[in-house]
Amino acid sequence: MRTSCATVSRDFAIPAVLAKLPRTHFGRWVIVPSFVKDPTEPKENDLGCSYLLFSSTFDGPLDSYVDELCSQLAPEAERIWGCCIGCPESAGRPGLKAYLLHNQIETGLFFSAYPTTSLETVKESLHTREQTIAFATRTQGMEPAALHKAFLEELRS
Amino acid sequence: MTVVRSPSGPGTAGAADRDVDGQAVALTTFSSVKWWGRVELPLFFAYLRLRRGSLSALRQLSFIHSARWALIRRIPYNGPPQPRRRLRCPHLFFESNFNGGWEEYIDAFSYVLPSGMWGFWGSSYGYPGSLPAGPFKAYIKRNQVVASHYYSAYPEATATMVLAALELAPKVAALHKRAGDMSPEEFATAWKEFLTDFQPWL
Repeated sequence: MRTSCATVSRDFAIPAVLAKLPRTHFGRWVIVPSFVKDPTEPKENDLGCSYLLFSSTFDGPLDSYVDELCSQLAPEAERIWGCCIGCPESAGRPGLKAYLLHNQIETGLFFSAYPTTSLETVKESLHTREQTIAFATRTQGMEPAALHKAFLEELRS
Repeated sequence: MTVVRSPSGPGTAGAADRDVDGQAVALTTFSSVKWWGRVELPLFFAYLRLRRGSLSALRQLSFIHSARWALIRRIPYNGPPQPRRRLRCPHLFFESNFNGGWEEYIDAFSYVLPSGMWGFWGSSYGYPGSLPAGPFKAYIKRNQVVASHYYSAYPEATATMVLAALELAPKVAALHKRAGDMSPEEFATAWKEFLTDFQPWL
């Protein structure tokens, strides 16, 4: 392979790279050099090399999400997974999708505090709440006519 | 999970920073699972998925955005030069997206979900039990892996803020819809009531 973990870590310094995928709530890349051996464990699990874990919490179906990742994140994907064994030479090609799906680990249990809410709705709702708080603070003691007018103009949904 | 060639891992300096994006904090752990966990964990996961309200205790922990558990039975193989490795035991992967302090997070998990914690980690080697919280925190710390890159789409928001916003936004829209038909005086009264009723979400 061409790069070290240190290089990979530097590439991860790209700010908010996952913001390019507008269905992503949370995401992480984790370099796993080895599994921790507990003293009570009879035998060690030697991984033989480091592994790169990618995890994402996103809206909608997996298949189209991976398509978006491979197309919209192509340059970053090439840099990130390009140092991994078996990754297609040009990570932007369709081979990347097959590669990522081949390496997928099935989730046993997933919990979300707001499971049916899309990222778009979360962002819009947070914006409305912020606006409402600012409006309530600013309009304290305002006359009814001015308050009514300001509400209709400023808090359009 | 894909293979990185170099065996050197992330350093510890600045490790906590890499697990943080604004208010959001990442926790990632792996633990080795005893033979019977191969059966117990999938059954436990299925039970939690199928039984309504089984995760309500997690919802009480209002600082969790999301959490995930996965049982890793084998390492995906991508051909040479990846070393072929057969895991001697399965591994439990756990990740969480939460806000607030790490210590408080583990404390809350330990005290709110003591029996549920056994279901998740009882089959893992070295699990000391969730109470007292001290040894459990040490256990989690030992099995934790720091992220190289962590992202939240709304880093400024806590889980509580998100839930409050999701409750509040439709109420604001409903009031806006009605406000057009109100006189200024009627609206002033409605606005006052709105602020009183929905104060907890502001």
